[in-house]
Amino acid sequence: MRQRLAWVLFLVALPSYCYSEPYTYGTTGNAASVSLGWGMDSILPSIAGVDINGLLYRYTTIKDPDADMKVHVGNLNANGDGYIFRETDDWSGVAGNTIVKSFPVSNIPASSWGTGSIEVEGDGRVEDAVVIYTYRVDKCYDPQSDPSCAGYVKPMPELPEVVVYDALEDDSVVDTLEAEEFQYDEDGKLILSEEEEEEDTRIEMGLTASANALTLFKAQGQDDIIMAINQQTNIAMYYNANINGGTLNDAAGLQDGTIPDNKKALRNNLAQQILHEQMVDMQYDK
Amino acid sequence: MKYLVTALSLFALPALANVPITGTVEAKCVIQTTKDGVYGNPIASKLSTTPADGGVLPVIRFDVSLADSYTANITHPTSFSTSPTLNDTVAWTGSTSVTQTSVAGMSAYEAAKVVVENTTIFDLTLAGSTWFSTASSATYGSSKPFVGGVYTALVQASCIAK
Repeated sequence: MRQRLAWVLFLVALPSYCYSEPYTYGTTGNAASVSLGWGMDSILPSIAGVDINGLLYRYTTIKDPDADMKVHVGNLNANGDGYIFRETDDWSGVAGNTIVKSFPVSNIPASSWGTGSIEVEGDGRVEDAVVIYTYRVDKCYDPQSDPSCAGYVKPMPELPEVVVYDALEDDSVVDTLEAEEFQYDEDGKLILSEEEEEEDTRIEMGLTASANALTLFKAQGQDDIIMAINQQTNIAMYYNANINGGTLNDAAGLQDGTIPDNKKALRNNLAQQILHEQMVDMQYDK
Repeated sequence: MKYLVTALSLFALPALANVPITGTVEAKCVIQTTKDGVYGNPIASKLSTTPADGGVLPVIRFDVSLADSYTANITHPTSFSTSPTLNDTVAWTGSTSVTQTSVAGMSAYEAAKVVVENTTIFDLTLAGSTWFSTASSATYGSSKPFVGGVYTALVQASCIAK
């Protein structure tokens, strides 16, 4: 029983999950709050997809009961002649009073509504006028405005136009390739004459020499930089350092006895001496 | 033979059925309370719905979809429906008037209204909505202050077919 009830509740609630209306509704403020003529742009939201679905007005007439008076409430048709809405109240022969009227409108686009007004014909005046429009906003008027709208198409990013350079279509390259002064072997390698090879060798040597010279200069430059850095080293701190005065007694003591020669040192000294003598002899080609 | 006669007599009995007939009549006159009234207490011995006395006028709307078929009968109160115990008399006054209309011609209702004792009668000659407000005032006897407590009175509105 409980499972069935759960199913029934699920089925009842299902449509509310599956369907979301793309419309939102609202009401304008009093269009006649300032004067008895108004523009629709100033009272409706300035977005696309606004339809007007209702109108309500109220006003009070001040008049002589015997006087003839008509009050016209309406909006001009923005798309042509005449009125898109027009209502006339005939107060002729009756006392003034407050009138309230409301009208449903079949979702007429806001762009079709021209200037609105309350016009008095005859003797009398209108006070405390209130004109309110109810409207509907279709958020899917432009389907691209919301991914949830029907007809929404995922926008493709704009790809930058890339110009591909084809070297084989370059006239300069083609002319160069077609020149007879260059010859290529089967592998496509350039065949060079001996003179050109020799000339290239000289050029290479020249370039090598200049590179070496530049390297030497570069090394010289580095030395200059290091020397400049060393000259900037602050050595004053060594001169400013103070050593506390006092007496430094010789604590080392050598007891009487015999210090034997270090045989390893002797051997080393001899080896150094032999090597030295050999080097001297080499000078005399001995 | 006797059985055959009995069987034939059974077939000869008349068939009976009850066929219902239903119908719906929509109300052509509907009364709605637009706003409840509130008594103000400008002086100790007076209760009044007049805004100048700090009160709020009750507003009743009559919606008529059939022209010239009904009268609106509105009776202002002559007694409290709930109140503390009062030992003296209360003097009642009241009036009802048209405050708003949905058709300009309904403005003529006000001039054509008929007052019979505490009841005001409006001839609803036009289809549409008419708003009526009722003023009510109660003064305690000999200007004695009202006893402290909550006072409630009712305005009776009815739509009477002509």
